[in-house]
Order: sequence, then C-alpha cells, then structure tokens
Amino acid sequence: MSRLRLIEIAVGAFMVAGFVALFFLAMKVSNLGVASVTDGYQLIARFDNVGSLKVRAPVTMAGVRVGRVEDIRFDKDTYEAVVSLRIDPRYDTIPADTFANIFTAGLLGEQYIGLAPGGSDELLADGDTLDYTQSALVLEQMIGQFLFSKAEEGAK
Amino acid sequence: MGRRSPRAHRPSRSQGASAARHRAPAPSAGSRAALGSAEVLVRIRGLVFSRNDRRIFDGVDLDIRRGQVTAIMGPSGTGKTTLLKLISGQLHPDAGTVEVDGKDVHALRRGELYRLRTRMGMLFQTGALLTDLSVFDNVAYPLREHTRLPESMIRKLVLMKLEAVGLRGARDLMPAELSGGMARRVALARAVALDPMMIMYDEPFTGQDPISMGVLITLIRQLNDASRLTSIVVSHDVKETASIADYLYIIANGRVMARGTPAEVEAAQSPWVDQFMHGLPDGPVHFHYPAVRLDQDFLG
Amino acid sequence: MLDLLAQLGRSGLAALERLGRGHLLLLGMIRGLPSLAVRPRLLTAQIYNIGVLSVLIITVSGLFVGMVLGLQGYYVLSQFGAAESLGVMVAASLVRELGPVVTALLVAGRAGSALTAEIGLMKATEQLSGLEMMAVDPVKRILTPRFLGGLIAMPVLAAMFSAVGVLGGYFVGVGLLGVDDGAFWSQMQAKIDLHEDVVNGVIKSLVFGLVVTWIALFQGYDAVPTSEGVSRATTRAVVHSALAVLALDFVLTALMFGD
Repeated sequence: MSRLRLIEIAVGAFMVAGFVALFFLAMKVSNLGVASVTDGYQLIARFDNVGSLKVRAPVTMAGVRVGRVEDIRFDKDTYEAVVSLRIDPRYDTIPADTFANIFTAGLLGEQYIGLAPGGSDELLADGDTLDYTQSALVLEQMIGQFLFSKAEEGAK
Repeated sequence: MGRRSPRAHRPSRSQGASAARHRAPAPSAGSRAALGSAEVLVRIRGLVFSRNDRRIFDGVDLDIRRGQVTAIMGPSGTGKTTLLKLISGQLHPDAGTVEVDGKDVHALRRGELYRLRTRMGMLFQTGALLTDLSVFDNVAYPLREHTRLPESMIRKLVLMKLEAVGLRGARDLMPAELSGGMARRVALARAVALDPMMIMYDEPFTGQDPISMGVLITLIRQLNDASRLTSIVVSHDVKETASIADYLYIIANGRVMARGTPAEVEAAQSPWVDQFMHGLPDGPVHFHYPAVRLDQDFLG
Repeated sequence: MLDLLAQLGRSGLAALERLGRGHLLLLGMIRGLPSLAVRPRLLTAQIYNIGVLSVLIITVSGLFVGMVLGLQGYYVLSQFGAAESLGVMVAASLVRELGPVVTALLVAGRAGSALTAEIGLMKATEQLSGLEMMAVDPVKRILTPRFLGGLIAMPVLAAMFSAVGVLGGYFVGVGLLGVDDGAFWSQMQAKIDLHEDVVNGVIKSLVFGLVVTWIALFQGYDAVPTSEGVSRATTRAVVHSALAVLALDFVLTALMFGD
C-alpha cells in the first residue's frame, strides 16, 4: 500500500506544481496583475487621424502610464475619430487645456496617446473632452510634405 | 452387531490428496451413465464463420452436455479457439445459432451478455493473467469486480480457489515470476472464482512438461466432477484429452469429422480419424505439400 | 491499371474502417467516464504514469527552449533596437505555441508510445480478451483511465513548460545578455493577455492531450497481436500524433489568434 500512497502524493505534487506554473503565467506573464480597465474616469479626445492606435493602448503623461484607450469610434457628422480614454482615478489633476498627442513607441512600436499638460487651473472630470489634439503622423503625408517643400525650395 | 459399510463414501476433501497422483481418477459413475440423456448446455446449429475469405466453420452442429467434459479436437488452425470465442460471444458467426443455457448468445444485449459471461469461465492458452497484479489479486479480480463481498470473505474465497489448484503458497508472487504451468493453474483458479456453470479450456496441454500435464489433467477432471461443472476442452493433444473426455468432437476443414465417446471414435472406420487419433504421418492428410513430380523437378 | 484502382479502393476503404473504429473507441472511452468516478485510484495511477513521469523531460526541454528563445530573440530584436521586447517575444512564443506544441510532441514520444506498447502487449497476451471473458469491459477499465489521465496531464505539463521557459529566457536575456530587468517583465505583462494568450494556450494543450492520448490508445488497442505488430503500432502512434498535433495547431492558431 505504501507504493500506492507514494504515487498519490506524487500526483498531488504534480497537480500543485502545474497550478503554480499556471498561476505564474497568469500573474507574472500576462496582464492580469495590472490594473483592470474598468476603474477610473472617462475622457474624450477627437482626432483627424488616429493612425494605427488600438483599443487598450496606453495613455501616458510625462512618460508614465495613467490610463488606457477604452474605445475608438468614428463620428459620421464631423468625420473625426472619437477616442474614449479611461484614466486611473489616482491621476485626477489633469488641466483642461492638456494636449493629447498620438505618438509611436520605438521604431516598430505601437501607437499610444501622450498627454502634455497645459497651464489651466480648471481640471478635467469624468466625461470631459480634451480640446487640443494632435493626430498621428502618417508616413505618406510626411513624405508628400517633404517632397512638396523640396520642390518649392528648388523653384526659388 | 452391525458393521459400518466397508464402502463409506469418501468425503470430497480427499480428492485434494489425489492431486499427487498422475493418472486421472475415473469419471464419477453418474456422468458416464448419463451420456446422451444429459441436458444440453451449449447447443450449436449450422455454424458458419469466415475470416479473411477463409471458411473456418462451414455448417457445424455441436452439443455440449451439462456436467460432462467435452473435448473438441482437430489439426492446428482449424479454428478451435475461434469456436470458444463464438460461444462466449466475442465473435459473431456469419450464420447459425449458438445457444448457451437456452439463450441465443448473439441476440443478447451487452448487459445480459456480460451477466452470462460471469457464469462462464475461460482458461486461455497463455493464462492471460493481468501482469501488474499479484497472484492473489488476479484471482480476487472477478470477485472484487462483480460482487459486493467484504474483503475478509474475498480473501477466504481466493485462498480456497488457490488451494484447489495447489498454489495457495504462491499467492504473493507476480505473474512474471511464475512458470507457464503455474500461470495456467492460477488462471484456472481465477476462472472458477465466481463458481461458473461451465469452463472452456483453450489448448491447456500445449507445451507442458509431463508433470504439469498430469496436474492439469487431474484438475480439469476433478473440478468438473466436484463442482458439477461443464467443461469444454479444446486441444490437439489426443492422448491426454481422450483420457479425461466424456465426449469427443473432431473438427477439420470446417466440419465435424467425428463425434462420440472416446471409445466410439477410436473404433470409427474413417481413415482420416484413424490418422488423426494415432498420429500417422501419412493418410488422408498428405505428408507431401502439393508439388510437381520429383523427377520433373530434378531433371526439368 | 484496373488492379491499381482496385488496390486504391481497398486501401481507401481500409483507411475509412480504421477511422471509424478509432472514433467508436473514442465514444467507448467517453462512455466509461462515469464509472471511472467510483474508482479514482485508477485515474491517479495514470496521471502519475503519464504526467509525473514526464515532468523531468518537460522541464528540462522547457528550460532549454526558453533559453534558446532568449538568445535568438535577442539577436534579432537588438538589430531593430527593440531588445526591451525580449520578454514579450519569449513569453508569447512559449505560451501561445511552443508550450502546447512541444509538450504535446514530447509527451507523444515518451508517454504515448509507452501507452501504445502497454495496450498492444495486453492485447497480444490475451489480457484484454481475458477481461472480456470475466465480463469486465476492457475499454472502460483499462482505456478510459489512461485517456482521462492524458487529457488532464497535458495542460499541466504545458503550463510547466511555458513557465520554466520564460524563466529560462529571463536567465539568458536579463542575466547573460543585459536586457533590462524591469522592461523584460513589464512589457511582457502589458502585452500578454490572460484570455487571449494563456487561456488559449491551455485550450490548445487540452485538445492536444485528447488527440495524443486517443491516438496512442487506439493504436495499441488495434494493433496486430504479435511483437512485430506492437512495435509497428508504437511507431505509428508517435508519427500520427505528431502530425495531428502540428496540423491541429495550425487550425487552432488560425481560429484563436486571427482577428
């Protein structure tokens, strides 16, 4: 009977080790340990072009992540992109004249929203809209502008 | 002053002692006299079975009578093992019926078939013991599977069965540690664990040394008589089988070639039966495989 | 010419027959699950045979695969200045693909072939027939515990493989090659999603566990009962399992990780 007990103990240890591994994967490797998207307050930003911004992209301020992009929609009346940001409730001192820019992380990196604070005393609250936005840089437009300015220069 | 009858009926316990003898004891008077009038336990009619385009059975009629040892003999490859599997329902015939205890085996549903099988025991050629269980656990297996008996009761039953085959002391050995003959005896103990109504023996004497052969012969006959079993022995060992059988069938080429008591078959006029029973090298079953004439082969 | 067609037809029919037998066996094993509940000892014994005895090969392989990923990943990513993403790369490769697939292949080789040989041998020594004669259904008693054991053991082993692999990648990337410790974990945590990646990986390994165990058991059960037949069946089991795992991996990946 003792061999049977050994087997059962080994199987128990095996299952525990497996669950520990799974737990490790869930907590340390995946994004489960990071704050979930549903806390915090919502801000709206309108862009002419969101480029390749995706839902769940980070929202940073001074390089620190303060929230996430919750939703990206298209306004068919103003032909703008309407982006909802979910901001961590700890960061509630965002001035009303803050700029929202779409930046790219690294060369291959994905796009994210960087907030540059303004100087206003008024602070943004849940549901407010950011008035000042800078759209994503689109490579073709930049090249077009570059060529155009080069042509102008050449013509002078 | 009265005297005790000098022929006091021997109690069954002494039959264990006779295991030391090599010659099988004569079958009890009851079974011999009841030949022909005994009730039929297994009835096979018109059995047809093919495998891989080969007709193994081509219209076979057999009767196995209750309480008797019936032997089924024939050359190798005539499908004797197949016959046992057809009786137990592991294989299905192409045509014909197999009735065991009045029930058509192949018409039974799975649950009923399994219940029927608990009343049949089978001894395989290799013993077919479960290799990861000890001798004791192997014999206890059917008891633990099919009964709700407490472990203490099971222990007593297992020891009894092992005692009947003479291997009670080997109860803790593993099948890998047993000789072929011992493995078969353990398998026999397992086959009778549930006190079945019949046992089938698949080539029990093949490859056995004379002593184990003697032991097996004795056991088969004793078990049959002591427990009022019905035994079917499939074999091609003529001498041994004929010495304990009450009734014989010789099957070849898919048909029953001879039937009867050993004495009747021995006295039969068929040259084929003669060749088989006496082990003659040439006769109806030719010595030479068909070929062109010898001089053509050498000079052609 | 006609002969060739007839031969093809026969082979095709034979293949269909085997496929059918295999599925009938799967059904038989699933039907045996309820009766397994009253005999948990059988299951634990099989989880031991299939799972516990594979832990060594799985963890060692996982470690080395993770380390190689760290090495190769670093070489490629540093060319783009993206060495900080090493953590994501290693973790994503392992959790989504290499963990389930390599574990399945290793288990097929180690435990699958052992199962096939065991069952094939039981068939050759008439133990399965013997059980049938004792009115015990060998499919329910012998095959079902092994089937469920393999099904349970596989995701556990795959999780171990991935976890050890990530640690291996960490050891090489951060420890040996100087990738930033914080970046390694934070980027990984940002990009690896629990549902999308980890859970999908677990689902994959469950599917692989089912397929590998099923194929191994079927090949053993269906083997020709001679020593040559059993050895052929063992080889077939490993080859078929491997092919099935890789093909299914493609299908599952397309289903899960597409948009």
